[in-house]
Amino acid sequence: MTSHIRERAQEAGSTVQDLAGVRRREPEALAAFFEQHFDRVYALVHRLLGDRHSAQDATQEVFLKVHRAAHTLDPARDPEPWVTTIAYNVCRDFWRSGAYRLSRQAVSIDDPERGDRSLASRADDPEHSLISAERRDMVQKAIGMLQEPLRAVVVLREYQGLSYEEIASMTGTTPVASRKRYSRALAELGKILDKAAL
Amino acid sequence: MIGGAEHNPGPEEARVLEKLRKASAPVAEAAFRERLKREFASGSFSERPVVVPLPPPRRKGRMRWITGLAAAASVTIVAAALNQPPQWTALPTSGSGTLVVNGVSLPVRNSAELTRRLRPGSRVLLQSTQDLDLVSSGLLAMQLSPGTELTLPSPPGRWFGRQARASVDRGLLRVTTGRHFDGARLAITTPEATVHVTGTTLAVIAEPAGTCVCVLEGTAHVRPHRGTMTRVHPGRQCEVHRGTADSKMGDMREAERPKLRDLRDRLQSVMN
Repeated sequence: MTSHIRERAQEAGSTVQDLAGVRRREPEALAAFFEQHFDRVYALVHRLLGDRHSAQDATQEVFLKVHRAAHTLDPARDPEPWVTTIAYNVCRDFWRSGAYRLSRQAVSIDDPERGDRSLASRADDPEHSLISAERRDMVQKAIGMLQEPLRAVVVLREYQGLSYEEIASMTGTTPVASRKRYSRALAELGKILDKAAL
Repeated sequence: MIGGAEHNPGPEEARVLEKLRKASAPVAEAAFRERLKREFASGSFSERPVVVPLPPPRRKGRMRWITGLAAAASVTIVAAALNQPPQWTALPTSGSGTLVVNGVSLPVRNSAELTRRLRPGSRVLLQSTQDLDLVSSGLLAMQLSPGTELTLPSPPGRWFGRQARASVDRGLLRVTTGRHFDGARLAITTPEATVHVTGTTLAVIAEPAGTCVCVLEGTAHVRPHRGTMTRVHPGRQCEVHRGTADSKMGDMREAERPKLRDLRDRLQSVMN
């Protein structure tokens, strides 16, 4: 189910030399590292946090932390789990922050994701783009309606391709609990999406 | 199966998963991406919002309850511990004989052992040639005459539980209250009456004919078991005869006056 995500990530993986450059904070190696990981980090935090502004803040925080801890990177190991763990921890801090709690109760009027959809679609095929964006937003909204532990497990499992063991060690639970949460999350998502007639 | 193993989703789960997979990934704004890439590569990050994690609200509420309960329990324990009055101390005596404490005979000269054995509610009988003095520091001092049998009161608490109860079955008990007794009450029951003490120096004499209460200073209230309460003023005494409900007032016994003065003067200095 999720192995394709892994394989894709591994194919595009950094070489030992690249990672050694990241350890030394060489600009070219850092830029390559950024290109390799940015999309996955941004997608992860966006799905976990649910809005563009929070996702941007969190992504910046993630790469700042990666930069600060670059010297601890082990060039012999795949950095993907390390980056994912940092991203998840940053999101968890966001969930606990007062600003995030306030943002959950308010809607930004200048956020195109929540504003007039027709203004947001500028692709070549406006109709297709509009449907795609609406579907993505509906799913994102449904994921955002889950409790944070359920949201985390479904995002980490479905979009990051992590195993239950990996999710358990990242979220501080057991693999069995992660498995149960995943099932509960899917059941709740089904109800939410049915209600939204998606 | 459960745990890290893969599982085959049911039809409902498969339907939800299909919808999740159809949703495209969120894409960042190009300008944001470029700016962050530049900052990451150069290591000079622009000003960013500071994320201050707060404790989860449920845990916070639970912690507040736990902290509150723990604090309340601690305060209760400390207050109860501090409220404990000083226990009875037997003062050295020159007499010879024994004090029977809950059926155990102890030599009256061994005041340390007596102090260790004396507890509120202990039944004591003095079989000695001399009076025996018991002190609860700052609160109460008592003098037992030879032949006296009584139940020791618990000295009143410092702040709460300030009512104490003793009983004299026979013999003579002299009592004087200390400065920390203020506001407390001691009830001394005899076969004929109950004496209510709120701060005074007095003697309670339980004789075969009845009870006599002699008051040196302060005021005591005497209630015969079948009669009405009478106030006894300084220098006066109240007699309640066995088998009657009446009390008879009169001047206090002359023999008691110097003994009560001596008790007050001597034990007040020891007690306070």
